Amino acid sequence: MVTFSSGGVRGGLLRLPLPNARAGAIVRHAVTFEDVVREHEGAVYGAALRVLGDRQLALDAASQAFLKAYRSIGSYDPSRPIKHWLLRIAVNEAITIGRARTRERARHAPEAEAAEVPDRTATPETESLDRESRDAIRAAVTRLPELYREVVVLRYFNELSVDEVAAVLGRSSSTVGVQLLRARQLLRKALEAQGV
Amino acid sequence: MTDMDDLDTLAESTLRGALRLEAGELPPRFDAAAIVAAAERRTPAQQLLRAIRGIALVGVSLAIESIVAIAAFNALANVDLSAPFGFVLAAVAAGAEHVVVLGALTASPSVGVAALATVIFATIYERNNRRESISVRAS
Repeated sequence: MVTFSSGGVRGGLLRLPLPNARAGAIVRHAVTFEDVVREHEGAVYGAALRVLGDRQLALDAASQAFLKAYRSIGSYDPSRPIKHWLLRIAVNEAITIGRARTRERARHAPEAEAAEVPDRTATPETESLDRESRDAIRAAVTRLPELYREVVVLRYFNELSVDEVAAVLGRSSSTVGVQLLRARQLLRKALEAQGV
Repeated sequence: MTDMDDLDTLAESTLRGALRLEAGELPPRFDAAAIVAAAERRTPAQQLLRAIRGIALVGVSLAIESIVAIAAFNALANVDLSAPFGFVLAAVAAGAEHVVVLGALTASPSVGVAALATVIFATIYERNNRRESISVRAS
C-alpha cells in the first residue's frame, strides 16, 4: 500500500469526500496514493495528451503531475474534488512541457518538422468522425493559444462543467464561457482554413 | 451552451467526439510506487541546492537583522537631544529662582530670631499643658 507521506498527511492516508455521498452529508473515506493514481490516471493522462498532442510528452506530463501532487499534497484542500486539483496540476505541467517543446522546435525548426509524425494508432472501428476530421480537430486544439486550450480540454475531454473548469483554472465561470465560445470559433476558422 | 449557440463555432458534440480517447490511446498503468520513490528521492544536486538555499536563507536573515540594527543605531546617534535638555534646564532654573527667594528670607536675622522665639514659646506652652494634665489625673 502506498500512502501519502508528504505535506500535512505525513505517514498517513488521505481522507477524501466520497464522490457519491448523500447531499449535505460530509462522509470521508481514506484512500492511498495508489488509489488516487488508479482512479484518475485516465483523466490526467488524457488531459495532458489533448493539450500536448503527443503521447510521450503526455506521459511525462502525467508522471510529473502525479509526482508534484504527491510532493505538495499538503496544499490540497480536501473539501474540493481531488480530480480537479490533479487536473489543474496536469494541465499546468502539460502547458510547461508544451512551451519547452515550442522553444526546442524553434531552435531546431527544420529537423523537428521533418520528424513530426501524426498520431495514427487509433482504431477505425471506434471512430464516429472520420479520421481526417478527428485528427484535424485534435491538431487544431493543440495549436490553440494556451488560454483556450486549457478550457477546451477540461470541458470537452474531461467533461467538466463550466463552473468546474472555472474552479480548476481559477477563473470566473463567465470568463470560461466566453473563452470556450472563442475557442470554438478559432477551431472552426482553423478547420475551414484547412478545408475540413 | 448548445450546438445551436453559434453557427460560426465548432459543434460541441463534434469536439467531444474528436477529443475522446480511443482504444489505442488508453493511458498506461502509472506505477504509484515508482512515483512515490521518485518524489522522495533527492539527487545530490538537489540536496546541495537545498543546503545552499538554507544557508542563503540564514545569510539573508542575518543581513536584514544587521541592517535594521545598524540603521537603528545610526538613527539614535543622529538624534539632537539639546532641545529637550535645554527645556528641562530652563524649567529647573525657573524653579530654582523661587527657591532662592525663600532662601534669602531665611538668611535674614529677624526670621531666625522669630523662629527661635516661636519654638521656645511652643515648648513652654506644651510643658505647662502636660503638667496640668498630670495633676488632674493625680487628683
